[in-house]
Amino acid sequence: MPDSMILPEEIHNQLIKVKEDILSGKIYLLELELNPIFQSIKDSVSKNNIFQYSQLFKETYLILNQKFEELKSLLMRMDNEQKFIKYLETNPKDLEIAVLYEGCWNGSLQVESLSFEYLQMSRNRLLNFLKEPINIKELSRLDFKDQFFLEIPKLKFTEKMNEYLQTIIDKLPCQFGDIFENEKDQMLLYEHFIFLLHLLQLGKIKYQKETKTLYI
Amino acid sequence: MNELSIIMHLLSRRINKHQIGATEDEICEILNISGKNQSLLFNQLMINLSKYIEILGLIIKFNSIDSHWFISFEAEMSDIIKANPFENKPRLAATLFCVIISCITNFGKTTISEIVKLRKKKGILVDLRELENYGYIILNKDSGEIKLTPLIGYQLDINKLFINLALKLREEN
Repeated sequence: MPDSMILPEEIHNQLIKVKEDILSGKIYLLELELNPIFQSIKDSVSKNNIFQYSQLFKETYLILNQKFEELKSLLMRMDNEQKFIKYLETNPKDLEIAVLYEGCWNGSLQVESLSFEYLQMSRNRLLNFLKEPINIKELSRLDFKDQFFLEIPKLKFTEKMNEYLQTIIDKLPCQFGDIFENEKDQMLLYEHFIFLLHLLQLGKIKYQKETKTLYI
Repeated sequence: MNELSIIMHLLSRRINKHQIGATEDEICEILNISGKNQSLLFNQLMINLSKYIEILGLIIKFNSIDSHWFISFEAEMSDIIKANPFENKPRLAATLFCVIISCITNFGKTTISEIVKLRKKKGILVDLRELENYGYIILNKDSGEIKLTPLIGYQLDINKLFINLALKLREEN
C-alpha cells in the first residue's frame, strides 16, 4: 500500500467533520470543494474494501446533492436579473466590484507554432525515419551448364605437410615449445600444429613425453 | 499525428482577435466523426485529452458565448501567470462588470448611455474605448450600442462571477 493511501476510516472521519462544520455554519456548502473527497475515495478503493466504500460514496453523494439544492435555491432567489441591476444602482465602489472577479480569470492556451502545417510536417519527418519493410528476394540462379567445380587448394594436404616437415627438420631434436617459437600468425600456428600432429601419428616425427622433446 | 494531436491543435489555435479553439461540429468534421454516437465519441476524446494535459496544469473549457471548446490554465496556474488583465485597474473592472450585467439583462446588448447611467461617473467613454482595445466589447460610436465579444467567455468565468455576486448579496441580506 503506498504511503499516501488514505484509509476508509480517515475519509469517514473527514466526512463527519464536514457534516458538523456545515451544521454549525463553519462551512458554507457552495464554498465546499467535494472533489478531493471523491478523489480520495477513487484512489483508495479496491475490491477488498469496496463494501466500506459504497457507504462512504453514498454519504459524500448526499453532501453533493445538498450542495446542488443549495445552489438551486440560491439561483431561484437570484432568478430576477434586475437584482443585479439594483446592486449596481446602490453605487458600489470600484474596488468592491473588482473583488468579485477573484478566482474568475482564466489564462487560455494559444500555441501558434502548433499549426496544422507544423503537425503535418512533423508527421512526414517521422515517417521518413521509419525504415521500409525488408523485402525477401529470391536468389537468381546461374547457369553452369552442369559443370560446377568446388574450389580446392592448389596443394594437397600431404604435400603441404611434407613441405612443413622440410622447414623444421633442421631444428630437430628440440623442445616441443621451441618448434613454434617464431610463429607470429595465429592461423599459420594452428595449421602447423595440425601438420605436426599428423607427422607424429605417421611416425615421421617422434615425441618423448618425459623430456617434451621432438626428434626424428 | 493522431486524434489527440489534431484536437490539441484545434483547441489551441487562434481564429481571430476574439475567438480561439473550435466547436464540437468542427472537431467532429475534421476527425470524420458522425452518426448517433458523435457526441459520445467526442466526449471520450475530450476526456482522454484532458487526462493527458492535466499534468501540465491545463484543462479543457467551453465558452458558452460562441460554443467553442478551448484549453485553459488551471485556477492556480492562472494566478501564477497573472491572468487578471485588470490588476490595479479596479475602475476598468467595474465598468466591464456593468457592461456584462447590462448586456445580460438586455438580450446581449446595451448602450453607452445605459452604462453611464449605471456607473454614475465621468469619463466612462474612455473606459469603454479601453475595454474595446482589450477586445472585450464592440463599441458602435454612431448608434452608441455595446456588444460583448466572445473573448470575455475565454478569459472570464462568468458563471463564477455571478455566483460570487449572488453570495455577496446573500451575505448582505
